[in-house]
Amino acid sequence: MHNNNYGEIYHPLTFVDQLEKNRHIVLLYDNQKYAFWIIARYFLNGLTKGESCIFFTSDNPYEIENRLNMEGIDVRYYKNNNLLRIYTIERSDDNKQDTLNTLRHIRKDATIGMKPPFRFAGRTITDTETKEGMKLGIVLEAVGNENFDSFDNSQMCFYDISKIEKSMRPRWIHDLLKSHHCVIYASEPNKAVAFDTNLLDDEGQ
Amino acid sequence: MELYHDILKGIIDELVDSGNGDGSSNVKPTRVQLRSNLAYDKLVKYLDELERNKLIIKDPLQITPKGRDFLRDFDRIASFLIEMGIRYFDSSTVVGLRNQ
Repeated sequence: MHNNNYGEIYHPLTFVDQLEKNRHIVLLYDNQKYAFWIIARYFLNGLTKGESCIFFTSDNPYEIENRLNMEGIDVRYYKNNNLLRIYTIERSDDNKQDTLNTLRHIRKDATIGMKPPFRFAGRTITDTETKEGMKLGIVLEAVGNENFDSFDNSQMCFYDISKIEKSMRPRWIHDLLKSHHCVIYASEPNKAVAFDTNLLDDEGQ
Repeated sequence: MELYHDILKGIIDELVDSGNGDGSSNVKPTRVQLRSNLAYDKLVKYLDELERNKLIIKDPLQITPKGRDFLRDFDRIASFLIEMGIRYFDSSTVVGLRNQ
Protein backbone atom coordinates (compact mmCIF):
# COMPACT_ATOMS: atom_id res chain seq x y z
CA MET A 1 0.00 0.00 0.00
CA HIS A 2 0.96 3.58 -0.39
CA ASN A 3 4.02 4.81 1.41
CA ASN A 4 4.41 8.54 1.75
CA ASN A 5 7.65 10.45 1.36
CA TYR A 6 7.53 12.21 4.69
CA GLY A 7 8.43 9.35 6.98
CA GLU A 8 5.11 9.56 8.74
CA ILE A 9 1.54 8.46 8.18
CA TYR A 10 -0.40 11.00 6.15
CA HIS A 11 -2.75 12.41 8.75
CA PRO A 12 -6.19 11.82 7.16
CA LEU A 13 -5.38 8.21 6.26
CA THR A 14 -5.72 7.25 9.90
CA PHE A 15 -9.10 8.94 9.94
CA VAL A 16 -10.15 6.94 6.86
CA ASP A 17 -9.01 3.72 8.53
CA GLN A 18 -11.25 4.49 11.52
CA LEU A 19 -14.37 5.49 9.58
CA GLU A 20 -17.56 3.99 10.88
CA LYS A 21 -20.17 2.38 8.63
CA ASN A 22 -22.47 4.49 6.44
CA ARG A 23 -20.68 7.82 6.60
CA HIS A 24 -21.23 10.74 4.25
CA ILE A 25 -17.83 12.30 3.75
CA VAL A 26 -16.76 15.40 1.86
CA LEU A 27 -13.21 15.33 0.53
CA LEU A 28 -11.89 18.80 -0.28
CA TYR A 29 -8.55 18.85 -2.04
CA ASP A 30 -6.04 21.31 -3.39
CA ASN A 31 -3.79 18.60 -4.80
CA GLN A 32 -5.14 15.63 -6.73
CA LYS A 33 -2.28 13.41 -5.60
CA TYR A 34 -3.43 13.57 -1.98
CA ALA A 35 -7.06 13.16 -3.00
CA PHE A 36 -6.23 9.85 -4.68
CA TRP A 37 -4.31 8.69 -1.63
CA ILE A 38 -7.49 9.16 0.37
CA ILE A 39 -9.91 7.68 -2.18
CA ALA A 40 -7.72 4.64 -2.80
CA ARG A 41 -7.37 3.97 0.93
CA TYR A 42 -11.12 4.38 1.42
CA PHE A 43 -11.79 1.88 -1.40
CA LEU A 44 -9.10 -0.56 -0.37
CA ASN A 45 -10.42 -0.66 3.20
CA GLY A 46 -13.82 -1.60 1.78
CA LEU A 47 -12.56 -4.04 -0.85
CA THR A 48 -10.55 -6.04 1.67
CA LYS A 49 -13.77 -6.46 3.67
CA GLY A 50 -15.67 -7.67 0.60
CA GLU A 51 -17.60 -4.42 0.09
CA SER A 52 -18.50 -3.18 -3.39
CA CYS A 53 -16.88 0.10 -4.44
CA ILE A 54 -18.22 2.42 -7.12
CA PHE A 55 -16.39 5.46 -8.47
CA PHE A 56 -18.58 8.13 -10.12
CA THR A 57 -16.88 10.16 -12.81
CA SER A 58 -17.56 12.14 -15.94
CA ASP A 59 -13.88 11.83 -16.90
CA ASN A 60 -12.23 9.04 -18.86
CA PRO A 61 -12.79 5.82 -16.84
CA TYR A 62 -9.41 4.41 -17.91
CA GLU A 63 -7.62 7.36 -16.36
CA ILE A 64 -9.41 6.69 -13.08
CA GLU A 65 -8.50 3.01 -13.27
CA ASN A 66 -4.86 3.92 -13.86
CA ARG A 67 -4.84 6.24 -10.86
CA LEU A 68 -6.37 3.58 -8.63
CA ASN A 69 -3.87 1.03 -9.94
CA MET A 70 -1.03 3.41 -9.16
CA GLU A 71 -2.31 3.68 -5.59
CA GLY A 72 -2.11 -0.08 -5.09
CA ILE A 73 -5.58 -1.29 -6.04
CA ASP A 74 -5.63 -4.34 -8.33
CA VAL A 75 -8.34 -2.88 -10.53
CA ARG A 76 -8.55 -5.81 -12.95
CA TYR A 77 -8.94 -8.33 -10.10
CA TYR A 78 -11.62 -6.38 -8.27
CA LYS A 79 -13.50 -5.54 -11.48
CA ASN A 80 -13.48 -9.20 -12.52
CA ASN A 81 -14.90 -10.09 -9.12
CA ASN A 82 -17.60 -7.46 -9.49
CA LEU A 83 -16.38 -5.55 -6.45
CA LEU A 84 -15.19 -2.43 -8.25
CA ARG A 85 -16.91 -0.33 -10.90
CA ILE A 86 -16.16 2.98 -12.57
CA TYR A 87 -19.58 4.45 -13.25
CA THR A 88 -19.86 7.24 -15.81
CA ILE A 89 -22.00 10.19 -14.80
CA GLU A 90 -23.43 12.25 -17.63
CA ARG A 91 -21.80 15.67 -17.90
CA SER A 92 -25.03 17.59 -18.11
CA ASP A 93 -26.78 18.33 -14.80
CA ASP A 94 -30.07 19.22 -16.55
CA ASN A 95 -31.83 16.01 -15.53
CA LYS A 96 -30.90 16.18 -11.86
CA GLN A 97 -33.46 18.68 -10.57
CA ASP A 98 -35.66 16.01 -8.97
CA THR A 99 -33.08 15.55 -6.27
CA LEU A 100 -34.13 12.53 -4.23
CA ASN A 101 -35.25 10.51 -7.25
CA THR A 102 -32.01 11.41 -9.02
CA LEU A 103 -29.98 10.09 -6.11
CA ARG A 104 -32.06 6.92 -5.83
CA HIS A 105 -31.92 6.26 -9.57
CA ILE A 106 -28.14 6.72 -9.79
CA ARG A 107 -27.55 4.54 -6.73
CA LYS A 108 -29.72 1.77 -8.18
CA ASP A 109 -28.27 1.97 -11.68
CA ALA A 110 -24.67 2.17 -10.51
CA THR A 111 -24.92 -0.95 -8.35
CA ILE A 112 -26.76 -3.31 -10.70
CA GLY A 113 -25.33 -6.80 -10.25
CA MET A 114 -23.20 -5.84 -7.26
CA LYS A 115 -23.61 -6.98 -3.67
CA PRO A 116 -24.02 -4.62 -0.69
CA PRO A 117 -22.56 -3.04 1.38
CA PHE A 118 -21.59 -0.27 -1.03
CA ARG A 119 -18.94 2.42 -0.93
CA PHE A 120 -19.23 5.29 -3.36
CA ALA A 121 -16.73 7.95 -4.34
CA GLY A 122 -17.62 10.89 -6.50
CA ARG A 123 -20.37 13.42 -7.01
CA THR A 124 -23.74 13.46 -8.67
CA ILE A 125 -23.22 16.87 -10.26
CA THR A 126 -20.40 17.82 -12.59
CA ASP A 127 -20.61 21.62 -12.70
CA THR A 128 -19.01 23.16 -9.62
CA GLU A 129 -17.71 26.28 -11.35
CA THR A 130 -20.98 28.21 -11.65
CA LYS A 131 -23.41 29.47 -9.02
CA GLU A 132 -26.27 27.49 -10.54
CA GLY A 133 -24.18 24.36 -10.63
CA MET A 134 -23.08 24.70 -7.01
CA LYS A 135 -26.57 25.59 -5.86
CA LEU A 136 -27.94 22.38 -7.39
CA GLY A 137 -24.99 20.46 -5.99
CA ILE A 138 -25.60 21.73 -2.47
CA VAL A 139 -29.29 20.87 -2.65
CA LEU A 140 -28.43 17.33 -3.80
CA GLU A 141 -25.88 16.98 -1.01
CA ALA A 142 -28.28 18.29 1.63
CA VAL A 143 -31.18 16.11 0.49
CA GLY A 144 -28.84 13.16 0.26
CA ASN A 145 -27.57 13.81 3.76
CA GLU A 146 -31.07 14.13 5.22
CA ASN A 147 -32.00 10.77 3.70
CA PHE A 148 -28.61 9.17 4.11
CA ASP A 149 -29.71 6.42 6.48
CA SER A 150 -32.18 5.15 3.90
CA PHE A 151 -29.41 4.65 1.32
CA ASP A 152 -27.45 2.28 3.58
CA ASN A 153 -24.01 2.97 2.11
CA SER A 154 -20.91 5.12 2.54
CA GLN A 155 -20.21 7.98 0.19
CA MET A 156 -17.13 10.12 -0.26
CA CYS A 157 -17.93 13.25 -2.29
CA PHE A 158 -14.80 14.93 -3.60
CA TYR A 159 -14.31 18.53 -4.66
CA ASP A 160 -11.31 20.29 -6.17
CA ILE A 161 -11.33 23.49 -4.12
CA SER A 162 -9.90 25.57 -6.96
CA LYS A 163 -12.86 24.56 -9.15
CA ILE A 164 -15.58 25.58 -6.70
CA GLU A 165 -17.34 28.75 -7.82
CA LYS A 166 -15.19 31.58 -6.54
CA SER A 167 -17.45 34.50 -5.60
CA MET A 168 -19.31 32.49 -2.93
CA ARG A 169 -16.72 29.83 -2.22
CA PRO A 170 -16.71 30.18 1.61
CA ARG A 171 -20.49 29.83 1.61
CA TRP A 172 -20.41 26.75 -0.64
CA ILE A 173 -17.76 25.09 1.49
CA HIS A 174 -19.68 25.96 4.64
CA ASP A 175 -22.77 24.32 3.18
CA LEU A 176 -20.80 21.29 2.04
CA LEU A 177 -19.53 20.80 5.58
CA LYS A 178 -23.03 21.18 6.90
CA SER A 179 -24.38 18.49 4.58
CA HIS A 180 -21.82 15.79 5.40
CA HIS A 181 -20.92 13.81 8.51
CA CYS A 182 -17.23 14.53 8.20
CA VAL A 183 -14.70 16.43 6.13
CA ILE A 184 -11.26 15.47 4.88
CA TYR A 185 -8.95 18.23 3.72
CA ALA A 186 -6.42 16.64 1.36
CA SER A 187 -3.56 19.07 1.23
CA GLU A 188 0.14 19.18 2.09
CA PRO A 189 0.93 16.94 5.07
CA ASN A 190 1.41 19.87 7.46
CA LYS A 191 -2.08 21.22 6.63
CA ALA A 192 -4.16 18.13 5.96
CA VAL A 193 -6.85 17.36 8.51
CA ALA A 194 -10.03 15.33 8.94
CA PHE A 195 -12.82 15.69 11.46
CA ASP A 196 -16.52 15.21 12.15
CA THR A 197 -18.47 18.29 11.08
CA ASN A 198 -20.83 18.16 14.07
CA LEU A 199 -17.91 19.46 16.13
CA LEU A 200 -18.60 22.83 14.52
CA ASP A 201 -22.27 22.97 15.46
CA ASP A 202 -22.00 25.41 18.36
CA GLU A 203 -19.94 27.99 16.47
CA GLY A 204 -21.19 31.55 16.70
CA GLN A 205 -23.91 30.73 19.22
CA MET B 1 -15.51 24.32 18.79
CA GLU B 2 -13.33 26.49 21.02
CA LEU B 3 -15.50 25.67 24.00
CA TYR B 4 -15.10 21.98 23.27
CA HIS B 5 -11.36 22.54 23.15
CA ASP B 6 -11.31 24.45 26.44
CA ILE B 7 -13.30 21.79 28.24
CA LEU B 8 -11.23 18.91 26.87
CA LYS B 9 -8.05 20.77 27.74
CA GLY B 10 -9.46 21.35 31.22
CA ILE B 11 -10.04 17.61 31.63
CA ILE B 12 -6.53 16.75 30.39
CA ASP B 13 -4.90 19.39 32.60
CA GLU B 14 -6.83 18.12 35.58
CA LEU B 15 -5.69 14.56 34.85
CA VAL B 16 -2.08 15.68 34.54
CA ASP B 17 -2.11 17.86 37.66
CA SER B 18 -3.69 15.13 39.71
CA GLY B 19 -0.84 12.88 38.62
CA ASN B 20 -2.92 10.44 36.59
CA GLY B 21 -2.27 11.29 32.96
CA ASP B 22 -3.36 7.78 32.04
CA GLY B 23 -6.96 8.82 32.54
CA SER B 24 -7.53 6.76 35.65
CA SER B 25 -8.14 9.76 37.90
CA ASN B 26 -11.59 10.71 39.05
CA VAL B 27 -11.90 14.18 37.50
CA LYS B 28 -14.44 16.46 39.17
CA PRO B 29 -16.64 18.53 36.84
CA THR B 30 -16.32 21.47 39.22
CA ARG B 31 -12.54 21.48 38.70
CA VAL B 32 -13.05 21.41 34.91
CA GLN B 33 -15.55 24.25 35.32
CA LEU B 34 -12.89 26.37 37.02
CA ARG B 35 -10.33 25.59 34.35
CA SER B 36 -12.68 26.28 31.44
CA ASN B 37 -14.26 29.34 33.05
CA LEU B 38 -17.82 28.31 32.21
CA ALA B 39 -21.07 28.57 34.16
CA TYR B 40 -21.93 25.18 35.61
CA ASP B 41 -25.17 24.78 33.65
CA LYS B 42 -23.33 25.51 30.41
CA LEU B 43 -20.60 23.06 31.31
CA VAL B 44 -23.20 20.35 31.93
CA LYS B 45 -24.77 21.09 28.53
CA TYR B 46 -21.42 20.92 26.75
CA LEU B 47 -20.40 17.75 28.59
CA ASP B 48 -23.58 16.16 27.23
CA GLU B 49 -22.65 17.28 23.71
CA LEU B 50 -19.08 16.04 24.08
CA GLU B 51 -20.31 12.65 25.20
CA ARG B 52 -22.82 12.52 22.34
CA ASN B 53 -19.95 13.24 19.95
CA LYS B 54 -17.89 10.48 21.60
CA LEU B 55 -15.16 12.85 22.74
CA ILE B 56 -15.57 12.09 26.44
CA ILE B 57 -17.13 9.59 28.80
CA LYS B 58 -18.99 11.33 31.59
CA ASP B 59 -19.07 8.70 34.29
CA PRO B 60 -16.33 8.71 35.39
CA LEU B 61 -15.27 11.85 33.53
CA GLN B 62 -12.56 10.94 31.05
CA ILE B 63 -11.43 11.83 27.56
CA THR B 64 -11.73 9.28 24.74
CA PRO B 65 -9.11 8.62 22.01
CA LYS B 66 -11.34 10.61 19.66
CA GLY B 67 -11.28 13.49 22.14
CA ARG B 68 -7.49 13.34 22.27
CA ASP B 69 -7.39 13.39 18.46
CA PHE B 70 -9.57 16.48 18.45
CA LEU B 71 -7.26 18.26 20.91
CA ARG B 72 -4.24 17.28 18.82
CA ASP B 73 -5.91 18.51 15.60
CA PHE B 74 -7.53 21.64 16.98
CA ASP B 75 -4.98 24.07 15.49
CA ARG B 76 -5.16 22.39 12.09
CA ILE B 77 -8.95 22.50 12.09
CA ALA B 78 -8.90 26.19 13.02
CA SER B 79 -6.35 26.91 10.26
CA PHE B 80 -8.45 24.97 7.75
CA LEU B 81 -11.58 26.98 8.61
CA ILE B 82 -9.67 30.26 8.31
CA GLU B 83 -8.18 29.20 4.97
CA MET B 84 -11.64 28.29 3.66
CA GLY B 85 -13.04 31.61 4.86
CA ILE B 86 -15.49 30.03 7.28
CA ARG B 87 -15.83 32.28 10.32
CA TYR B 88 -18.55 30.36 12.10
CA PHE B 89 -20.95 27.51 11.49
CA ASP B 90 -24.37 28.85 10.62
CA SER B 91 -27.17 27.04 12.41
CA SER B 92 -29.62 27.87 9.62
CA THR B 93 -30.19 25.64 6.65
CA VAL B 94 -27.95 25.51 3.60
CA VAL B 95 -28.08 28.25 0.97
CA GLY B 96 -29.46 26.10 -1.84
CA LEU B 97 -32.41 24.94 0.23
CA ARG B 98 -33.13 28.44 1.55
CA ASN B 99 -33.55 29.72 -1.98
CA GLN B 100 -35.92 27.00 -3.13
